Amino acid sequence: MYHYLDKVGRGLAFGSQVAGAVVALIMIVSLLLGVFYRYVLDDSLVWSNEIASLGFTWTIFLFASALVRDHAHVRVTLLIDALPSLVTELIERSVVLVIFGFGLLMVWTGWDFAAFTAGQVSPAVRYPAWVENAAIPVCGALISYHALVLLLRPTPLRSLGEHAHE
Amino acid sequence: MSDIGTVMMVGLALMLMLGVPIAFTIGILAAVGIWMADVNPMILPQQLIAGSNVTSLLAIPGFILAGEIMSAGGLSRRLVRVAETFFGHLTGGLSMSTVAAGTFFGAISGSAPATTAAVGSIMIDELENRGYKRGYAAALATAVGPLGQMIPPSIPMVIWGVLAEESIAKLFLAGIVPGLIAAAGFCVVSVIYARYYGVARENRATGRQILFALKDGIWALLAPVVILGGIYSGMFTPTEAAMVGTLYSAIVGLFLYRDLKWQLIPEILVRSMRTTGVIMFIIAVAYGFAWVMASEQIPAHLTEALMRVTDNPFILLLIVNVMLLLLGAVMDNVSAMVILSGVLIGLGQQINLDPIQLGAMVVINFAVGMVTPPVGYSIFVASSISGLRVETVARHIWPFMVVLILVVALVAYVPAITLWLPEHFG
Repeated sequence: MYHYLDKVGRGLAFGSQVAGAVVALIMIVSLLLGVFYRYVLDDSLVWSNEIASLGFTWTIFLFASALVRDHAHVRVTLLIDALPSLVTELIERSVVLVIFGFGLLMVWTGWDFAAFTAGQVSPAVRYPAWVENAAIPVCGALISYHALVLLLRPTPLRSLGEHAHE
Repeated sequence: MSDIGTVMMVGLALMLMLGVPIAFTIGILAAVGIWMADVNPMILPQQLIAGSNVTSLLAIPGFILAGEIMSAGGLSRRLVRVAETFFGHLTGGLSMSTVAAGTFFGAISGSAPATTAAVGSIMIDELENRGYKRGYAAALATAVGPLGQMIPPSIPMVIWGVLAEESIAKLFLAGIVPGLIAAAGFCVVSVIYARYYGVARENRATGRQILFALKDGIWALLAPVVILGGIYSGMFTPTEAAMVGTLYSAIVGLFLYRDLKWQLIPEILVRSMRTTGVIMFIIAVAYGFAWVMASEQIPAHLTEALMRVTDNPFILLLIVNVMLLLLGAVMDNVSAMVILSGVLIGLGQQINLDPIQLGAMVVINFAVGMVTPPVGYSIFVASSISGLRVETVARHIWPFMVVLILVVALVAYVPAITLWLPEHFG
């Protein structure tokens, strides 16, 4: 059962990162097109910033969800490293439970928010607001799923994680 | 302080200590605050969306990506070679070349670990081969990391500019003089080290060698001109400059230097966006957290409490700087900035600190945190590149720390250091 869930999780994380990279590319290209239009074609591109922002929102939340699977979000591990391994593992599982809960919260409040703003459209391109706002419940669900797989993981969680560079 | 304020502060300390990722800590606390204040819970996703589509913050993925592509595209290697031809023959010359290359790479990259990685991966072995201790070489690569954050462009300056609603272009200018002072200080350390350990000098580069290095490195040397020239000529916003910098480095790496291979690009893109995801998720969630903090006036209460300790600006600045240095040592700098911004801005107003100076002070304090264990990312990078233990690198870092702390003191107490450039050219 766990292996099946883990395999799906791996697929979801891979898919989110591929999708995230594609929207990131769209974000970069639309900003560059904005510059190109302004200086080369002497014209302003009204949609470039809006599309870039939309891409940015999805990039952030898609990657944020995939990072949960690797336990790669920045955190302070000074104290838990100093504790006996059994206590550390207990704390680690509780931490994942908190992440799981926050993911659910994103689904619940994000769904309401997307539904509430369903009739609105963006100022320039006039795409429906839910196209952007849906990032919260969708990625909340992904976060919860990855957290659930971590919760069920048979081996210790402390070995996971990496130092995020910034 | 209100009940919500107490819950937020105690919860923050407790959850961070227990190792809950910072983004989720502040996210849960924001949700608790919203629930306790009996506000519509939809405020949470609304703030998350608001935090995730600030146009200025789009500069962050751009600068991360530009830095990664420049390293993979051979630009940093050529910068090092140019620096070597100019400084190599001096006492401590190779060490100074490392500082110069770090300074220059800092003018392309906005991140401390990226600068350490770019310079360290080339210079650590070379420094060891020419008589420097490996520990010293790794510590030097660690120390030049913060230059990436002080010298524009700078990712933390972009974040502070958005949090404090200050001009990012002015904040960028404020970091230049402190960055150059730190670089000069590192050069002094290099000379003293080389004299003390009797490290031999290199041969002076011939005019031909210098010309060749310059010719080969010209595209790399032009990168800051494109990025910073674009911003200060008013051609690009910092966000556009970041994207143009990415395109420029990709073109140079792919077609001129040909060190960058097409098949590497997807991997670089995913790696850069993972880093962006880490940073930006914290910032997006922080919008919810900041909303609760502001609606409960928690920063104002904390500022008042600090002012009750003393109202002497000199001592307050000392307290704030020591606090920032300590916090920078145990906490990731984006998170620390996000959590503290409200209090720091309030305090800055109380003691009439210029907002640009305050921003530079915060960013530079946290930049020092990048070289201090246990969470200094630059030190981790240098340790993994050199294959040395973090403790070994840390043992050699203290001369550079002295320089950096001196810079922090200058920034805090001599306003001209940060304000002269923005006032004249901003």
